[in-house]
Amino acid sequence: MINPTATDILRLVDATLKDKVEPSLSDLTGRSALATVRHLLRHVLVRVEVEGQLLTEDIAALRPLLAQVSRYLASKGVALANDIDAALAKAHRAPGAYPTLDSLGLEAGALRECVYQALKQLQSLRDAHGTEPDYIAARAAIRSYLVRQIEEEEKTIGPAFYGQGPRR
Amino acid sequence: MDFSPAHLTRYLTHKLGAPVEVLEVERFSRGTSRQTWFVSIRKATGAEQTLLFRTDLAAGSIEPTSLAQEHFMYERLGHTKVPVAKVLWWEEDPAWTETPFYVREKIEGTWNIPHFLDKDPKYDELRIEISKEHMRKLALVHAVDWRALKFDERLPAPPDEASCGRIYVDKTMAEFEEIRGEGVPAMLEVAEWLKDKAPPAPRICLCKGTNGFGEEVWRGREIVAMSDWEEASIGDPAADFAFMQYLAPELERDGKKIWGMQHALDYYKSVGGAAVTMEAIGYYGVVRAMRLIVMGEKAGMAVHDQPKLAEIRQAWTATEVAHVCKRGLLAAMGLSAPPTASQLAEFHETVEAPL
Repeated sequence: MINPTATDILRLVDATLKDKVEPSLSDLTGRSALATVRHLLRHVLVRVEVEGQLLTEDIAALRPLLAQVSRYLASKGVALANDIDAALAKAHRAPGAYPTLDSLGLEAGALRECVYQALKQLQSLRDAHGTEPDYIAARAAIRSYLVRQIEEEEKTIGPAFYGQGPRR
Repeated sequence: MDFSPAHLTRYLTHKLGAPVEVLEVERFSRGTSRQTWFVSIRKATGAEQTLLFRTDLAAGSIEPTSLAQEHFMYERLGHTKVPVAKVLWWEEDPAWTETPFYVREKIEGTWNIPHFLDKDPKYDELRIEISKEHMRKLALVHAVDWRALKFDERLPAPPDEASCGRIYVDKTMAEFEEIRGEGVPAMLEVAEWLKDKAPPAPRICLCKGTNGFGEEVWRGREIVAMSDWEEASIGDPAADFAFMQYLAPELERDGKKIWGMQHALDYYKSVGGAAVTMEAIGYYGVVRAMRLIVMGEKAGMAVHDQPKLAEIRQAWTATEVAHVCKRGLLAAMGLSAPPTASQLAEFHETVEAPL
């Protein structure tokens, strides 16, 4: 491994911006832009450290959720169930390949898009089937997932932004 | 648009039909939705004037609505009692610009209100007077005869008071679908929840959309120009109280409430406003969070598609702003804890006006 690490360098870049660049800026537009840059730099640093694990866990939560929703939609003859099954079967990287952050993000994004489409379908079925136990269970599972996903996303936002000064 | 003095000199000399000297060109550092440029000129007569140019960001505005709609709003508002800068012209001639822009007069004044955010109780009187002035101007906006002035040529108008909430949510979801990358299931979940509980509007009004500290032009304690009409809509006036950015401050001294949102609403009603309820304001606060997620999504796509052209603030809107708004949606539905007051307040903090 090359030392300093990527995160070491990001910390150094941020410190340099704060100590060397910021004091030299008299222009308001530049100071405002630099404030935003420093927040985003911290955000990148946090994402480098935690996003891989978050996305891996997100994908692990999405797969059983989609399988459950797909079964329900298939029981109602909704064609989207086939698309969901195809998305679940798709390989997002070659066997043995390192799961880069971008590839994990694309995989999670594709599966989350399936949740979005499935929820649309379920909402359209609400009047006819909204009181069925399986319908209620599918909706509750999606709700539970989206709460978890947004609360987990907080781990990439809070440490980078909150209490760190003006954003702009 | 090329905002170099040389190009502006050529363009304005052509446009105004007489020689123009460009004295100063400055990009306004505030605002995240579009570019605002102040161009100070001296005409052949010796008269000096500052023009305000508005154009989309290079990678596209974060707003789901168009620059043309914003121009339309200023043009139509020029026929009302609402104080706005006079719109001068629209330009899209490719001989002069690659992207459309429009020009309006610059109104002398400032977005800042000295001491307004100073917590010292001696400024309570100032805060209350500023809040009342804002209420008076909102009442003016809400009294605009939008049908006669044909605002509904551009802005979708609900057919009746009962439909206002549902139409606004549908409009927001339609805009989200048009610009989105990845689906956000929380948007669908909250849209359904909101449509189930939409309150009837007290009347159907022209609504400004974006309100509060930093959004208007002040001279002393008077609003001399109302700005930021990108989020304007026709619907429930409660929507305008859902995003106030400090202008209905909650003030309590010696255990007594001396001002707050309810006081502001009572005052607003006394100067001709509608009977707006706190419940309706809460409802439109959730719709506002949805709309900020739409903006975050659009900003995120701009950064993703055109990283060399996008603005750094678009990345911020796409990350922190969108995330905190998603938390707001969950909280509104009772599914998770809300963002804290300080987390929301930090959004409005700037290097010019730190908290």
